[in-house]
Amino acid sequence: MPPSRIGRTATDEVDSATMPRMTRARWLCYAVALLFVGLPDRASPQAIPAQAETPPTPVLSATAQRLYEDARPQLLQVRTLLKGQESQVSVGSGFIVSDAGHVLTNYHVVSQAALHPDRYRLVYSASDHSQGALQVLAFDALHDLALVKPAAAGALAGHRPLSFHPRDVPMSQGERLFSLGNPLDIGFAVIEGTYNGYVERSLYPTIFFSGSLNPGVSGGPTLDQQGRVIGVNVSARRDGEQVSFLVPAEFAEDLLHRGRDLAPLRAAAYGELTRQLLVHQSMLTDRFLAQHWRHAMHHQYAVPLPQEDFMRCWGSSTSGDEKGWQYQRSNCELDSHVFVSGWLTTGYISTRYEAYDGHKLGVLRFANRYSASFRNESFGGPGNKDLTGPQCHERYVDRAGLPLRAVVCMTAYKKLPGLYNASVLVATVDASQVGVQGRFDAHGVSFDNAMKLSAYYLEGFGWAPSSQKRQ
Amino acid sequence: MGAEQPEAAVKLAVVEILDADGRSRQVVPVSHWPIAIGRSIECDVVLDDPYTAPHHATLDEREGVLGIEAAGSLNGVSVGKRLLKAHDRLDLMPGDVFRVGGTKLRVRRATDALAPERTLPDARTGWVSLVVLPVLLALWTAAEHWLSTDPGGRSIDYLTLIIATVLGLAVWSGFWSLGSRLFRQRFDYWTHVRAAALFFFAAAVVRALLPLVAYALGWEWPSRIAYLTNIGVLWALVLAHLTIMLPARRKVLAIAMGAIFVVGTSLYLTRNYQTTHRMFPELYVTMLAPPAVRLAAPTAIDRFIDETRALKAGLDRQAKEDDGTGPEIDDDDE
Repeated sequence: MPPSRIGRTATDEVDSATMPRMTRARWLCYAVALLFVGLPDRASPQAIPAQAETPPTPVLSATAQRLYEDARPQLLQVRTLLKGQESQVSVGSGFIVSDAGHVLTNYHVVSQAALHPDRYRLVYSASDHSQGALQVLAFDALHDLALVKPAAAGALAGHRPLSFHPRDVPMSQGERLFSLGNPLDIGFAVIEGTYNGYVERSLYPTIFFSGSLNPGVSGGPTLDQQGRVIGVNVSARRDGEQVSFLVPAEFAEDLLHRGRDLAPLRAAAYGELTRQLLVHQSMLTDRFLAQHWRHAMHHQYAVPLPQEDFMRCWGSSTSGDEKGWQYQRSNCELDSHVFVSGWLTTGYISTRYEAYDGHKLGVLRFANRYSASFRNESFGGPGNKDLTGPQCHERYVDRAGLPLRAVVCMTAYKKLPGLYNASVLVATVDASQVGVQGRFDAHGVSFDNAMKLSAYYLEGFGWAPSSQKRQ
Repeated sequence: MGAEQPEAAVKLAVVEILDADGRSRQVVPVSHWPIAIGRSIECDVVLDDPYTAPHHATLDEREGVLGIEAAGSLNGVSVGKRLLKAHDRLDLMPGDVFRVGGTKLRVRRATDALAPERTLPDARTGWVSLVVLPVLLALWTAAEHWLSTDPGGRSIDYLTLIIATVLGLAVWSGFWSLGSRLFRQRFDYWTHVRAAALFFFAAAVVRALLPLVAYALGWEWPSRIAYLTNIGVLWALVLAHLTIMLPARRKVLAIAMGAIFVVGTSLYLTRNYQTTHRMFPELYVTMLAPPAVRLAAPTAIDRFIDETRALKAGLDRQAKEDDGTGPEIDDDDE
């Protein structure tokens, strides 16, 4: 499989039903969230009917059986219903974490109800088939967690809550883990897998779980062998096998402590979401500006590339025997996506560059191809209900004697005031048969940070040290 | 020719009955004044026009000045914007066209000065432009193909392209000359070909040149307007074809086509502005020409970033104008 197909891991959440839209919007594929929306494409004959007692995995260890039996009363399905009509829009999982009946799940499981309380409502259904309405108390969009509670006082109270794996007890790679949830709305299930440490190059700590997580188990707990919660099921890679991700339990525990006594959210949660995203972008920008550019190996130009241990990059190039246009390119992206809604994630940074060599083309043909490549960029359409259309500013800028064509295009978030997307497009314009074009994208940053990041990116360009004399 | 006239009379003038395009359809010699115009066969100039009276008007010469006097009729006589009712009289200047009922007429007297003979358009210069312009156009398309392909392309591709260009030009001009045939009873084929080749070539040059100017000077507007200017040139080509078809309506056509272009452009710009808050869909100048073309000096990064800050006000206004208060399309995929 070519590298671009296995582009990047991500701990972020993409609602499975909107996945085609997401893949169109971005050029690499993603970890998908495990929210189950709608029916599976094909109800296969082997599909196990919704009998809570029958887990779909055929072979289970005795531990799994014991853990499942113990945790089953604490396990819930969290459903988002369309108000006025009782059909479900999406389903995830959740688990009881307090004697008072507090339930933890993913933010992306409850986001529709949190952002549009006028149109959606949340209900739980337990393994004993009891049901009831849920209210959102608090959420942590950055770690994709939400704390909810039954609307009816006392409902779910008295269930023995699940306990958290102690923070000071480290896990070792290869330890067995047991993930619980309700995959594809078929029935409660236990999925066995292994602990594989933390995902590398992820802005927020994320556990790499080798086990098959399916849509619908989002928000369900993953337990260690003692039945303590080690993480919360959040997403999986669809282009690999058994590559799944968990939110570490410590963040869930923190959210419980922070939110257990709060009053339920009444209005749309955009304000709180914006506040969290502003915190996120501030941290993201500071960390990004603190890392120093490494420079791509180009004989003529210094091209800014993020540090490899910070962002994941994939490269490609034309084969050497091409008759005309030759290029190398590299795409880098930081795994820091924050889920806003099924079709909108934000809070991440990506960079890209393409180095062109047109010696086999000649000056005019090179200019034509170089222009076409510069033109072939998208900054989003005319705007939608979440984002405005782009507005751009362009100039020739001077970077230590190297002339660049620079374009900054920005869009604003309509419902997340104070957040913007910024794209910087750069082309070197000093030579007639070689050139480098770069693009930097920051999603969901404040205007000031967008300006800082844009300047930082532009300053990353220059002459390669070996070509100083060209100035 | 006109009705039979008694012989042995001096020809004082001719009355020309004009067609809708203002050209003479029928010429009636005049050997005495006054002469009567109308539907009755008693008249000197007999019209086949149901909107005229049996005796509709009288042409007369008094002290060397030609004049027209309306007889009693429903529709009267009009000269320019003046409408003559019964027994109104008006002097006519040489070349004046007047309308009797629904028929346009003109009088030419033997004493009126004749416009000098015009020279025919030089057939040879005509042929030069007729060959040069289509060749330029064909070469231009071939050059565009050359630019956009890798070295070592097949010569048959260029040949195909050149033939397709010439053929396209021929067919395009053919359609317009059918129009000429309809309105002018002649094809004017080569005139149409010349106009089409000239304007198509001009449009191609404009398309290439404006972004180049934008790149060279670091100005954005020449590149922004390149698309509209291209449309404008092609619109002018349509006007040129129409003018060849209906030369007498040159003025009206120019005004009408100009007005349509202005209205269309305004609608286009307004629509762009309302959907994207920008007049032109182009976000940035995409042309990157060889460095020798660039004249504009680069600015410092700090200054560029400071200028970029100006985008904030517009974006915030845009975000506020429509921050989800409008009707939403359903979020869900179901």
